[in-house]
Amino acid sequence: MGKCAFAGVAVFAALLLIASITQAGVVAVVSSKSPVSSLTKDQLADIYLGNAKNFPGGGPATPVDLPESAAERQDFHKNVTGKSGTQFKAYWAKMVFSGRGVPPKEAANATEVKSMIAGNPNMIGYIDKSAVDSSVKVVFEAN
Amino acid sequence: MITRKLLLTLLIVGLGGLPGSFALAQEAQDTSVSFSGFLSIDGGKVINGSFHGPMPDNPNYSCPCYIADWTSTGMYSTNFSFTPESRVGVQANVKFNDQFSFTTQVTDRADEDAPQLSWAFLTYAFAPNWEFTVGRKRIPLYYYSNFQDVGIAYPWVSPPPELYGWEVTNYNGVSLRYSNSIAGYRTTSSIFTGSETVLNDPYYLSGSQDNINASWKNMVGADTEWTKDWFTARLVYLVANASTDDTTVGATTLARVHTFGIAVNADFDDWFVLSEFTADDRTYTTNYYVNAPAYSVGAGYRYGAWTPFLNYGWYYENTNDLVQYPSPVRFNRTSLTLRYDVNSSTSLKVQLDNYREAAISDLTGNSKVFRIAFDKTF
Repeated sequence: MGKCAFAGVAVFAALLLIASITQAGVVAVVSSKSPVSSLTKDQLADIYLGNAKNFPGGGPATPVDLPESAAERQDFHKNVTGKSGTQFKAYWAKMVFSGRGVPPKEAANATEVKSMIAGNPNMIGYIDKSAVDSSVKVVFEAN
Repeated sequence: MITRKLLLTLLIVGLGGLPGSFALAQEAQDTSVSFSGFLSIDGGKVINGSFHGPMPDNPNYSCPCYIADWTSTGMYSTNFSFTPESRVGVQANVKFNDQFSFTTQVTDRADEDAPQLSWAFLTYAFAPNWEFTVGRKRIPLYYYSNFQDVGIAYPWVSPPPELYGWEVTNYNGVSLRYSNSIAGYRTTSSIFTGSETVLNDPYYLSGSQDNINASWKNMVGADTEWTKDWFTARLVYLVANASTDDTTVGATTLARVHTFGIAVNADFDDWFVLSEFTADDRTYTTNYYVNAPAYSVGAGYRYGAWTPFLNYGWYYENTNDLVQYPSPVRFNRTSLTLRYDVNSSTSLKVQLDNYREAAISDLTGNSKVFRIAFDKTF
């Protein structure tokens, strides 16, 4: 009985933890110096899928991805490009070996995303909402 | 057997890549260089079949056999072999600035003597959404043509031979591409023109030991692809003057080619359906025609890392002159593939093909084929 109750509490705690991670939310960010103020989901997907090489009405766009293991990456792609890790890789294999571009650059973590973006108004990345600071500007928020 | 040449290439590639990623990027001011590559080690054999002869005019072939790759006559027989389809490709992309880049790709196949230059073109992005390219590219005949050697990008061991695999694969020329989002669809469209000549074309090896050169001249074509959520459709049309020159016996042919193709894919989270139809019509200057409608349709389901995929393909040549064209090629094929994704850049596949010839005379016979594949990108 005691074991069951403990297991129940542990499962409940795990569910809460998962819920809190999911709720935190991933946002797309550009340099605070970028003229871009907001993007739609489709515009953002176009940039990450290499179909748009420029910001709408603006300069060149260089997307930055997080490593495949990052929870933010799975969240972001599920919401924005609609592709799983394997689908995204297969899509970019198609694009790269069709000579239509190179996949997004990869940063190690949110800190590196911010430092890359802060100094380059052409770059765009995504981070957890809680990691946003004055060096970057939110241009897209899921939901 | 994996040939010594392929092993050498694998070794060279392996030095950079096999353990992980070797997409090294060196940035010097504006110019950046990135390298990438793909590798497929495919092995297989005909497990049983029937053949009524006569044997193909080539001492290297024994039938019943199965042509998996028509372009290079990659043919499996009853002896297990890695040679017909194994391949490796390396690609470099040099980005000079936001407007100019250069892409080159070299592909080495186990069944060909020397590596082939698949891509070597300069891209000029002269306006947002527009790209102009000049150089050597793939002929974008079908949905998978541009990346038909990249095993990781599709569920089969190799794209359906009912559609893929003609006497020419590349062209030297120019193209203009426009990509944009229109009414919620991600779209890309291009027009292209150019020509290609293949000396001693391996495409003809299944039927002849002669030295045959093949050309496509004055090729002009256009394609457009539309994607929204789960839906993708692609249309293509091209015309060309196709000629062959059999230098062994001194015979030539000349035909006007018209090719139309449509691909429709549906990709839900788990289920997906891939379909493609084409009509290749050739009208010869000696007053006969050969038209070849073909289609492929398949469905798969993703169970986590596992993807079973069932496919049916059909190819049927018609002609009005069995004297000038005595052996129209006709066949159908059912395949079942099981793919396992080791990770997002490595997959393993097992495939069974049931190939049935419906031709007036046998080319390869009927066969059941077993194949395995290891696919990787780096």
